[in-house]
Amino acid sequence: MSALEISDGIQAAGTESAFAPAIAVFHCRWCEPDSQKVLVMMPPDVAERSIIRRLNCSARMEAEFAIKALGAGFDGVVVIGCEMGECHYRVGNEQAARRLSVLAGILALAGIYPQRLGLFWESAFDEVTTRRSIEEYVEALRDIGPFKDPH
Amino acid sequence: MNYKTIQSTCPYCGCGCGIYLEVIDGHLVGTMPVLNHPISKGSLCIKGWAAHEFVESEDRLRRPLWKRGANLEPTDWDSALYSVADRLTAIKQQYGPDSIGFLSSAKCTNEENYVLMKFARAVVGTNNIDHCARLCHSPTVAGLARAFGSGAMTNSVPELEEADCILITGSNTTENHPMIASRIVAARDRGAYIIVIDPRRIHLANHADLFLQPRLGTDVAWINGMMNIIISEGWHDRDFIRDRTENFAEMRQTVASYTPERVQEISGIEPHLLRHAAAMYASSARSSLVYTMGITEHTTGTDNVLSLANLAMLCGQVGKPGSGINPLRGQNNVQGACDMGALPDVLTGYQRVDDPETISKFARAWGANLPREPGITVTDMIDAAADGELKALYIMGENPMLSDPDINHVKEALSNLELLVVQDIFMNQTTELAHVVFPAQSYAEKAGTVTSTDRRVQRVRKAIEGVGEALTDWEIFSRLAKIMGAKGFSYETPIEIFEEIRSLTPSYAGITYFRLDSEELQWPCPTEDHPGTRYLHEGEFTRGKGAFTAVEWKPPVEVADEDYPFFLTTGRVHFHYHTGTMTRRSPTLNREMAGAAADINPTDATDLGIKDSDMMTVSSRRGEVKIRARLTDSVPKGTIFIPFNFRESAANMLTISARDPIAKIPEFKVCAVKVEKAVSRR
Amino acid sequence: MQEEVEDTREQQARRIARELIASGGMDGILGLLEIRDHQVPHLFTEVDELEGLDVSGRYPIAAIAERLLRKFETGRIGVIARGCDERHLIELEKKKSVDMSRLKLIGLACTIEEARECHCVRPYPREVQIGRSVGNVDYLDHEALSKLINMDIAERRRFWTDIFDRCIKCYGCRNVCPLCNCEDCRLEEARWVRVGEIPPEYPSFHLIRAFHMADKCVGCFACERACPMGIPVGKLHQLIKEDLKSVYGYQAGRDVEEKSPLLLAPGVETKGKGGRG
Repeated sequence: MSALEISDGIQAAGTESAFAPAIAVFHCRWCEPDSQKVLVMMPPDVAERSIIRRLNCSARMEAEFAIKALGAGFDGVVVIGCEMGECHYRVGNEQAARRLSVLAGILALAGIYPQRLGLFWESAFDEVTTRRSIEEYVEALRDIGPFKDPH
Repeated sequence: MNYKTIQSTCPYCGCGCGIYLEVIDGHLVGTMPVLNHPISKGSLCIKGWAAHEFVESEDRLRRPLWKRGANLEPTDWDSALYSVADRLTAIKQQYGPDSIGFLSSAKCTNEENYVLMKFARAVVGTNNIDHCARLCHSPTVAGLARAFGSGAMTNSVPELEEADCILITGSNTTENHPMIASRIVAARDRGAYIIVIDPRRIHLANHADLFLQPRLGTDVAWINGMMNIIISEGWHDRDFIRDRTENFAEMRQTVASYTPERVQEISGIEPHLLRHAAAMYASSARSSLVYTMGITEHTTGTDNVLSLANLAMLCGQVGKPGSGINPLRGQNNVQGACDMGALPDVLTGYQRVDDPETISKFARAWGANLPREPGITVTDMIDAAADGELKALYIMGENPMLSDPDINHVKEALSNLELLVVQDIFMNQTTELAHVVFPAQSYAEKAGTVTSTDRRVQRVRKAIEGVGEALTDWEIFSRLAKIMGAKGFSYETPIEIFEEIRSLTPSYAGITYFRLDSEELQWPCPTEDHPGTRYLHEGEFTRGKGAFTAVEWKPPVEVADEDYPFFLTTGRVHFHYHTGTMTRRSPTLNREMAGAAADINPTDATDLGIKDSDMMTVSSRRGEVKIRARLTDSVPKGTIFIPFNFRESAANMLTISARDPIAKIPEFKVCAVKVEKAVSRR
Repeated sequence: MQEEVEDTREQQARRIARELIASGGMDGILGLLEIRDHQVPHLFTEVDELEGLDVSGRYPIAAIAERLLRKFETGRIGVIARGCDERHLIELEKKKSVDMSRLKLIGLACTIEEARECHCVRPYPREVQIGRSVGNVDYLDHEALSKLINMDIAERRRFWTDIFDRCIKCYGCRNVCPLCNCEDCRLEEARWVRVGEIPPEYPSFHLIRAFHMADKCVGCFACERACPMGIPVGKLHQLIKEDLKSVYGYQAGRDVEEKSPLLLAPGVETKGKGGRG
């Protein structure tokens, strides 16, 4: 996998009512090899502030990626992997799911909305369902607001 | 298998934290905190945790060196010592004892400082002794001695937790005295008011109840302003003023003109904030003042300290727990170096060289005639060397080529000397210019005592054998003294030296190595059953009554103008210590900060087309440096901050050597510079 | 009464240590040496050193044991271990950082006072040779913990953001923790936590550590005691531990065979059978 590049200092833009979250998206290459396809699933105002990274397997998703992304200016982190039982490496997605579930608990204890972490386990890439899941996630994120403390 | 731990005191700052040095197979492998230590309470800062890393570095000086041609070459101890003894004797005979100067070390032990100053006075016959305290807290010593009769921190570090209000000014405490900042936040957790007054928005400002941001060099104005408000409101402690002080009327008259409006004009502080600070400080039962270089490193440093003394006395905040004036001393043993008389005008315990009784006492004890005229300070010594009046300089554990102002001038001065001897643990910019270099032992290789900022005498203990042929500093002077035919230097252990010190020094007379093994002792400790002194000036000041001083504000010597439109202020960073000789050889600390960066306000940076991490050229009337930019709004518009720890971007290339007339401290904190984006070579 | 128990613990410890050293099977006994009213970790190798052997101080002994085993390739040492020390060693064993066959644990039971000071719930090791176990207790600071739990999420955010902002990156929390023994610590990598900043990068520094400790923390609170700025890091770890316990029934330091919920045993705890080729 190429070196992960996360741009520091992405500024939160938009007014309160039209807050456009910046999202760091990590998708497994087996359920969807084409990052562009994932990008266009998102509303344009969000897509232009987001980054997409392709992983060999959702298991490659480390808690550090999500934690660092939040600190670096992203408001949400999305992980798209294969449906349970369909992982190319048998159990990678289950490892990821477990790890990210523990992370979500830690975020909540630290006062960070666990809903900032969006986990989507999709079977043989279903555009319609995935698009809808992402849209719901983005709307929820708009309501939660930016990660960075305004003060 | 083997593993042991040796209890010592951290070699870095003046907090005086206890550490355990971990030793396996005769090598240092780590440090650990001391669980119930009165200062560090089971914690350490990152430097304390890394205090072992530089000790056995490959770079350590292991053999004596002397100059042959243009290079320094290794030699044996006898050759080096005899050569220095011969040259010193010759120079003394030809030019007189005052053509020789000594710089002592605020990092070396009390015993070593004592032996150096005894050597200078009894063997060479000069009072030209000084050390880096000149560059940091000399105004404290001068100012508080004048106001109270004693220049030391009045209260103790643990007492900060008993304060109801702590006002911190000119001290980036979390970064430079972390264990003291620890007490300040603990006090806050208990409900104390914390006021931070600093030209930069330092880290502690974010954990304060009130933050005031005055312009550089305006401290007398805002302090007088606070007193103006306190007096107008009748918040001052009339009983204390009447019973315990003198000269109030004159001071009161002077501060009458420092109205909040005038103070705002001078310093930029808004009247309502000044009033808020005055109210908090004056109305709290126990109010404590904490300060460091932001107050002292000015041409008005002594005035600044006198003003703080005025403020404390005005509100009766001296001589009781949790209050006082608390200058935080920088080095691990700068308090000790001062206590040991490594100063031109005093012997141990601040006993003056021009006092006949004192001189007789020491002359008798040492069996030597002693000089009675005060000598010159380090800043004057540099000038005298440049002028050719000072012929020889003997430096122990100091690096003036990085820590003194106006480095080009320092280089010219040191290069002009007939003899430059340097005793240190590493090569640095100063040793490079020396004729002879003696390898010294570090804190982990020797035994002795050090005195931390709150007058606390503590032990350093030997954990490993000296590296290479390095000797302990007192041993080197003792050998030199013997070669030069002097008596009174046949010490075999540091305890003997300490016993001699306490026999001549009333404030240390009750302290013994035995007591230090199990008791906390802060001087004054006059007798062996005296418990030591937590806070000073209880009941009466050292000089009797506390003296108010009427102080008028004066601007800094060099301010921003058309040619040099930025203010430069200098200081330190957390991860490195002073000139970096130890910390820049510590992997943990280098990893955090490998090089220098100058803090610049983002608006200024944008105007100059500078982005974060771009190289900038900063120049003053003295010199120029290239340094990376770090954009931060902790510095106000129009001000640049450069840390002085990094030789490749030496802040002191730019600073002005203009001095406080009384304390002789250079104005490190204010001068004028211009800033440009550095021209890229690509 | 208490005086008697204290003396007995020291005497017991010295007797056991003397026997082990005299028998020649051990290269040393790792315990605390009393010097000048302080107790410091020390490897006792000679019988006449044992006069100074003390048991009332607290240091992360497991960290020193692990370092010694790493530095010296052969040899066995006895370790005077409290409950927490033993739990540390169990977790280190899970990581394969210590070879327990090179250690002989000499179990030390804590007194009620010691348990209270440490906010302990299990102040005794499995086998007690020194002192008498006081059984399970609960000295957790429930007041502080419930305050944290009962805050709403925005308050919690404000609380932790403000308090982490005090951090001076001393790494004390990590340095005293026996479980933090990675050669390449992630917190030191500029990629994850920007270097040279005070306070350190948020949320990276503290939450990466919290995540790493999630399945390893045994609740000794040494981290919190080592923090100079009063940051209740131990309490955050405690809350995370309680989460893992209630969701997965997992407790660190209980049993070397007890696998972390973060390490799913393929085929046993997972459903995955195979994917697309």
